[in-house]
Amino acid sequence: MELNALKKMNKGISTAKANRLYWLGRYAERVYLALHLLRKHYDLMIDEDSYAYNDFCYKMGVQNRYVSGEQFITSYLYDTDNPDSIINMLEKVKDNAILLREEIMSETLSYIQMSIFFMKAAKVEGRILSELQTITDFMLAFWGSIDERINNSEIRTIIKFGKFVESSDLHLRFGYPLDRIESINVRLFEALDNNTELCDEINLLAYKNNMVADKYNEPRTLYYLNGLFSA
Amino acid sequence: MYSSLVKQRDTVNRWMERFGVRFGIYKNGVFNEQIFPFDPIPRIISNSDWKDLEAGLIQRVNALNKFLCDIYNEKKIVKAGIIPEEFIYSSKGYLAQCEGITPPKCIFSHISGIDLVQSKDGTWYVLEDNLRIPSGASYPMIARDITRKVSPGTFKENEIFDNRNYASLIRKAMDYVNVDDGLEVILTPGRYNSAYFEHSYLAEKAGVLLAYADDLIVEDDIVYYKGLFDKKDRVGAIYRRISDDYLDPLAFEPDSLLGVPNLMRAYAKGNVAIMNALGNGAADDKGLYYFVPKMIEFYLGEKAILKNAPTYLPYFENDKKFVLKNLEKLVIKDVAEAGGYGVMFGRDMDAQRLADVKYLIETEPRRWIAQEVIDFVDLEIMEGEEKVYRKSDLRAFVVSEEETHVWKSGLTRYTRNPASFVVNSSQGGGFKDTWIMKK
Repeated sequence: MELNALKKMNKGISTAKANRLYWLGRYAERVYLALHLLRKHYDLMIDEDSYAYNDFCYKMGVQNRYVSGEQFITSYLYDTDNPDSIINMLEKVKDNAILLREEIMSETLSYIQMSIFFMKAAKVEGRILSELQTITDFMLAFWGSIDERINNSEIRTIIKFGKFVESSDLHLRFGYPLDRIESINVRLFEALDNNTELCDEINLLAYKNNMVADKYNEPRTLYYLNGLFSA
Repeated sequence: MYSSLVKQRDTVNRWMERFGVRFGIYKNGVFNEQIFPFDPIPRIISNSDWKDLEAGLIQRVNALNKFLCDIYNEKKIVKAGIIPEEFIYSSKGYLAQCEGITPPKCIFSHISGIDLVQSKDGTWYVLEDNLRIPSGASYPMIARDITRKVSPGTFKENEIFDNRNYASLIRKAMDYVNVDDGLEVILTPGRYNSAYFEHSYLAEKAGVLLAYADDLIVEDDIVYYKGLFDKKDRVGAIYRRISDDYLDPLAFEPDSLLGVPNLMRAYAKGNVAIMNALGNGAADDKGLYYFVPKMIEFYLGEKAILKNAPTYLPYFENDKKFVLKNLEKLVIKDVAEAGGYGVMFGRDMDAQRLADVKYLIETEPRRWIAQEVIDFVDLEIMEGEEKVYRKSDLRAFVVSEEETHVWKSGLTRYTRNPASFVVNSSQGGGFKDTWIMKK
């Protein structure tokens, strides 16, 4: 590894950059999980509960601005005027990623660019949800590229911090069982790997204390979780 | 020799999109990012042509560096009467704050972008010396990376110098001038700068940090990068992509939010290298361009290898008379403008405009130069499925460190408008790769 690259290993992360890295991880994971959760609710909408999108919006914590299942799917996926849409989530990933090119590398950024191009084309072509598996594939490739191409462990840590906070957040919101949340937490704490400087200690302790059967799904658990990042 | 690239140009463009190869442009106050149109037909420069160009460019940039060092220190060229003192020190690019300052290793222009055109008889003419923040090298660099992927056979069959070492050249220059082995950063004004892609791409490829003004702080005349939790790391070299006026609000434009307060003090004390040095605009002035052949003779004792375009300075009475008499045949340039702005072709002006420009020349003779219009060579470009010919120039990049190197490629820009000579991307131009042949 070259001299300056070595110097960068533990230097060169400003507060603004740390925030971008964290939110890059959060938004990227949000895209991935939103598509996953959307597929589950869409499945219900086929023949069980055509209004399952109401539940989706409630759990996701987004405004229910939709008049039908069909309109929900189209708007939630593709509508650039809908602040909650997947295309806008991807734009937020890009907004952070484009400012981090030198850290995450052009190849990693390219998966986000390709996702956006695909979504724009999919909107024009009227593609259905199942065809958006390509976006899921791109997001998985994005995460693979993060692991593969970023040598600076601190950079990786912050992105993963965001990823697993978002993952826990959405799993909590959608009522997943405690053992599932705990398995995500294990990965979150592994990602931090003693780098507790990045964590708000009080929120971390409170969050850990809430990881018991009768408390984990309380709203305050989300509050503690979302207050963990302290750069 | 490049037919495969023409066939696969859509694939090349898809790769460009994938990597977000764009440039920003403001139109009516609104920022837009757009694709920089890429033409698959390269400009090809033979090895013998290149050798002459390379020697001429090295000579020119060496002289310009000596000139900058001289005008801010000993002023030998003024004392020798080669260039009128007033002409140098009235330049908008001259910075009185830089008087007496010698940058690390005495290099002022670490990265020079020299714009050239080739006339139809094959002679290369220098049109401009860009010594402040010349941009554009990243485009042919990434284009080459992509075209090699898309059409490896093209590069197997043709012996072309690899151009993907540009970022390494920049790094080498940063390493050379780095003060006290500090961090190396590219200082960007931010995402909404037209060349932001280049800033971030070069930072990635050079393996240096991309810094924003808020990331840097000056304490006790030392520049630091502000890390997490109040950690501070010393900065030794800054490749700044912010113009002099905005670099330090305490020394220059007080309203600048892009700059770093007290950076000038740190620089003046020799505690940080700034690439390119402050005050380079004095030699980048289109009026001073006229004197470059004289600088070469004065500092190097050599005749200029590369020719200037025939240029007239209205500052001199005889030249002014000639310019006013022959305005219709000349191109007029504002000495302090760049990016294709402030360029006016006499032949395109109506009587009223000619009269207005004549008035400007008479009242502000130092502000303008006039050049003969060179009928420069047209290059083939693809327009749809058709090959057409368009005007183009070449920006050669010269990197100065312990030695002066010319990057074996360049940014070939072309106009998309058949009636235009203005090739700048900000004016709607496109770009080509530039192949320097090994044999």
